[in-house]
Amino acid sequence: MKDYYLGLSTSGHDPALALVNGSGELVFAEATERYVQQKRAWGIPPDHPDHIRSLGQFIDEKSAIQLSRTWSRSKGIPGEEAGQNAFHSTSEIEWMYRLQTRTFEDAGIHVGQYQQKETGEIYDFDHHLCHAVNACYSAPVSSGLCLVIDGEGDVGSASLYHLKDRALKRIWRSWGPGSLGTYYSWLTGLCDFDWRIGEAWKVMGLAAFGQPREEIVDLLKKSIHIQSGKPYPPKEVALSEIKKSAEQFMRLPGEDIMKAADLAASGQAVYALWLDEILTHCGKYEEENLILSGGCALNSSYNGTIKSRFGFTNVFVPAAPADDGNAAGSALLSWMKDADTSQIPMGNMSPYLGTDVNGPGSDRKLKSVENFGGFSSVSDLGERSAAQIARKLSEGKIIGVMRGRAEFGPRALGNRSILADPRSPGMKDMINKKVKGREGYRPFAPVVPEARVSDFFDQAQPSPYMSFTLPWKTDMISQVPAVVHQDGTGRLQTVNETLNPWMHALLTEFEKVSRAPVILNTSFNVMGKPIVHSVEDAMAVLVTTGLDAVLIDNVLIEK
Amino acid sequence: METEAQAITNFLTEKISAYSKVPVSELPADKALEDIGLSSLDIVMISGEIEDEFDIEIDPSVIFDSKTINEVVEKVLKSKD
Repeated sequence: MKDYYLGLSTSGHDPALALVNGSGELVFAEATERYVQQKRAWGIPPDHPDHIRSLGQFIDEKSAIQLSRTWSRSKGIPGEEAGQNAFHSTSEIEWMYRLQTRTFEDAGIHVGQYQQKETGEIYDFDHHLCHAVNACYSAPVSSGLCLVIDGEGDVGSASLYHLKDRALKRIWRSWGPGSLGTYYSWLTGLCDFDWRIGEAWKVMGLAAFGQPREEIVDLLKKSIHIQSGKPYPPKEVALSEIKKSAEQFMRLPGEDIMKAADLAASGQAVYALWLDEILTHCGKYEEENLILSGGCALNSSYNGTIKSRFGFTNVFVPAAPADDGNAAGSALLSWMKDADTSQIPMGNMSPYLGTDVNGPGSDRKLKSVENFGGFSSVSDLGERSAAQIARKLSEGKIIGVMRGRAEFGPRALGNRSILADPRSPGMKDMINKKVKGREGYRPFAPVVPEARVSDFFDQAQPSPYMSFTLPWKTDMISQVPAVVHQDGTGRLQTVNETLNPWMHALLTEFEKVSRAPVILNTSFNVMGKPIVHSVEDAMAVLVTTGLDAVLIDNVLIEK
Repeated sequence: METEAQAITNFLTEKISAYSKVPVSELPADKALEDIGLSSLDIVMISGEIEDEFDIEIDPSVIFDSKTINEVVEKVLKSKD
């Protein structure tokens, strides 16, 4: 056994590093995009020379480390015909394959230089198996079905596994280019959004403003066919013809966003039809628990509908189901390989696995902010911070919160969040205008206590990582309008005292000064940038936007 | 009675015929695969069908790196062991 197992996400996009200790516990995981402050960090090595130093708190020159990657092999250069049966063009595929190949083949070179380690043999694992193991690590059950759906794995875009006694056995995997993940990227492009920086969110949000149109649905649904639960390329007509026909519905640059609303609604409806077919197939295995992973598991709009319609007792989605999360899956698989076990360790479900804001140099940075920042007030709120922040939020303040360790995965879950009072009908527009600078139609998420979720939502279920969009109870809609989407839903985060005691306390305090323990929670960033990573990033947002204050740990910095 | 090798050969020949549109009668097991005119996608899809049919895990390179149907059959048999 080694002291540590370092998994490197080597897809060429969404690079990340994850560290598992000798006991099989995931002790650190973070996407590279946070460190370099570049969305999805295309082409950047997962062992970025400076980011890798973040591991210094765990490893030293004596630590033995095992490296691993998140693919069985590099993809190489695709043939000229690669785009013929794919949603992406040949040039897009070539670009992605080149980045995957380069990232995969170079993975670990910085570990050798900057951690002064002999990298030795690197373990390689099947891409979808990494997704599955990452997901099962945070699923607190011993058995179930684990479904992985993404853009592309080692041989196809979907795999189904049985989890039994914490060990995975693959039931099937799809082969070839039929892919719901790349379909959604293509749809994102048709709506004139940029799939390369992850703007699929915009399609999901926009879908609520449109209606599925029969002619669009009929066309799009021909682009994939599902057989025995697996996605395949179209059967009766060439994908190139479908793509050409779909151009009549696309939104052109400069056109109003709402021009794409029906296309977004139709595209999401078709995605749901296919997933319904896949999950209907999954029903034959009669498992109570469904664990979803892969990039498509970020489709919270669809995820929220699964439990009530398919009879699963529990549906789990990990905090980082996309390729960043695979760094964790790969590190865990390395540990399992050396421990000679097929059983996946069970994590504590905490998504707070990234860099700690209270790390080395934090006191000095805060002192500099106090001395040189020119802010009206810098004060340590100590144990009163939850109560004080609750009061300020109720007074209409918009506050950035940076506490403890950063979240692993795309969602701000209270440790790198912008918080606000959801009761004001104007709050959504205010945050968009003053802070986020993003499109006005996009929804903001609510955070609620896990134990109270059924008071506020229909089809209630835990949603610790904002993985599920659920319908608000009718009587709540007028109470918290800033976190109710156009279709009466909310992509909620549920918190409990164990995983995030401060956020739980904040909700308790907020209820005392308002009527409900519901707070607006959006990611601490500005549009186009990843979530803040350093105190400097947070201060940049504070001074360049209309944010009222930032809380760093318990220190409140006010304008 | 059909041997396992024969069953795999028959299955493969039928699949290759279906994808390539070359009649089964023109696909002897020792025919060079590269002369059949299968596309990369055809090979990927046939690989998936082999995996499902024989409940084995095969590497994508099994067909790509084989010269004849016979060679593929040998590798599939090995995977089943």
